[in-house]
Amino acid sequence: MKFFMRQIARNIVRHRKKSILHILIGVMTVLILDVYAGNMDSTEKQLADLPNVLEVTARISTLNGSQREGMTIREDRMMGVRESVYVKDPVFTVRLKFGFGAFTVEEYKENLNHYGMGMNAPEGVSGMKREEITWMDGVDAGILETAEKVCILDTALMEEKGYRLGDDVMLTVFYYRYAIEGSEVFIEPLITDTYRIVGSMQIGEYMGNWVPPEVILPLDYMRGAYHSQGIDFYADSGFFTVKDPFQLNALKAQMHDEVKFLSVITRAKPRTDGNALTIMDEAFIRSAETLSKNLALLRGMLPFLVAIVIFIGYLCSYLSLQSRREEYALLRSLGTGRRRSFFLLFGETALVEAAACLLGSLLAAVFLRPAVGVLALSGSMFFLAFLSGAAMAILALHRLSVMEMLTKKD
Amino acid sequence: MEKIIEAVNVSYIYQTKYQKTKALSEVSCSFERGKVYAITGKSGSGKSTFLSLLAGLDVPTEGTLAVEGEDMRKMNRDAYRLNRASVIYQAFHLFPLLTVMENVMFPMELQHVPAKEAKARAQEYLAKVGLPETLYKKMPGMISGGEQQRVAIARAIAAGGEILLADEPTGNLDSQNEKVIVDLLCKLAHEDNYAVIVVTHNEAVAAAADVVYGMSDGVLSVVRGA
Repeated sequence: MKFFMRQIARNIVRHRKKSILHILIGVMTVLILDVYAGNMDSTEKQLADLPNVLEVTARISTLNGSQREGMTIREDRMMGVRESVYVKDPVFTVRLKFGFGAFTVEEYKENLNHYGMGMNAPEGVSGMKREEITWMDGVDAGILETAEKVCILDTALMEEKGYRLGDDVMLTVFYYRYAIEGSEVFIEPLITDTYRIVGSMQIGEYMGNWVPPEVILPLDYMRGAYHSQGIDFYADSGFFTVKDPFQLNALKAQMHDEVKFLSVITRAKPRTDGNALTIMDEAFIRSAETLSKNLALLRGMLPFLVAIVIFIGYLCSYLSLQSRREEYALLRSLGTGRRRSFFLLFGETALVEAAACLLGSLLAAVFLRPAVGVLALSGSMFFLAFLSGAAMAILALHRLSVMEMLTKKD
Repeated sequence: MEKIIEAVNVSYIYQTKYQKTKALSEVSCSFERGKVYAITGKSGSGKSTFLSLLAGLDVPTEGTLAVEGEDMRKMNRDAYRLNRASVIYQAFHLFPLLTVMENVMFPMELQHVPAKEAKARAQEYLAKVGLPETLYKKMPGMISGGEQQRVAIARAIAAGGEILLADEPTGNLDSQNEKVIVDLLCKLAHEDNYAVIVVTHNEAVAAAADVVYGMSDGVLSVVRGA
């Protein structure tokens, strides 16, 4: 073994010009493989990161797609969305009217003069930012996901009425009942109750079509209120983010088959029924398709690249061994077995290419800055493929007749 | 004298994709230790082919070639060349990138002889072939043909075998160097008990041999001494 290693080292030094040339070719090949593997890695990362960069959202609308608020979204559909494993951050709202204190239906004209909303997240108010709500100590937006008797009041209204955060306020709430066909809207009494003021809001740029809400109540509290009065609950707007856009098809299947949403049909008759779902996935699908195609192309190139590196390994070793055929024949004639001769030449190539691999990876790390995994992939790919080619060239030497090689000149 | 190699009806055919050439035809002969054998004949008569078969570089197409009774087909021919038979070529075939000393040490290193011992033995045999010490660290390309041939002989005998095969060992040498080499080969046979088999065109080499075979169109015949 000692002789073996010494002989390999001696040969590398003695054939130093060839060794240096091999190292240069190896370094260039490693750099090219690093660029390739780096591209593949970056495309894979872009594709994996795409859902964070391009969120896919979905919105419930009427069947003809003309209306996205003021609809009647059935409770089972709403719960189907909220409970779906494919859905992230579902937001549902319900429109309300309210007045301060307790009053009867007959007294509504004097008292029912404020607009409100029930919702499970602040995003239910179009255009409102979370920082526009000032919360009572120990409370945050999560309270809207509960069924607690709390409310958020408009700052100006609070000042006008002399309320502070933490105060209790009695409100009488009326709900909207929409006619399924036509544009008739009925406002009917729902509940009178006392609510703790947990937040105040100052909406900067309201972007909704309706009058901005002056009070917000938790959606599930409102749902309970409807149930307690024996009234069917309907949400009037709803939207959500797709949790994993790579599972769009599963989401669509569930929304269609289980939750019974339809696709928008623009020619459909105007109705208030919120039974259509529009998923804004065009940009995501286009980008994902482009990235997938690029990735497939890069992956498809892999066998060719490996074949090219094997060929480079074969060619380099073949050309270098052409001038060393006599040396090989002599080795054999002195009693070195085929296996030993092979490993002498192969060991030499392996050491030189290991140096090329290290140097190439070092240069790539400095100039290309790829991930460690990329360096490992391209390095090992180079090493294995190049040595396979070299092994083929060395094995080809075994087919030559030692007898002919040594007696040729005689 | 004991037979070391025996050839019985040895034939050898060079076979390419397109043609077959019979290089040896039913050659039968034997070689003993302590003798110098010369095989003479025209170019292309099959001498070098026969020598290569004796060196175990290939096996006969037909017939049997046995070393001390063991068929060469069945034996480990790499070990045979490493430990028992050495070949000297007309073109010397020294490793061009090894020094004279390293060339002589090489077969001993293959035999795992410790470096110190290998060096001492190399020095001894280089001195035996009359090569001055000043040349030991030179590359083969820096010394004359006669000196290179002596290095090749030193390499062959330093490995410590019992059969020395030489293919035109004096072919590239002047008459003065030729005599040195011929004397050396005779000394190895007669004093060190080697079986020395020399393929040659050279009449002086043939004249110094104990047994002379003639080869013509692959057929071996006894010329003298067998």
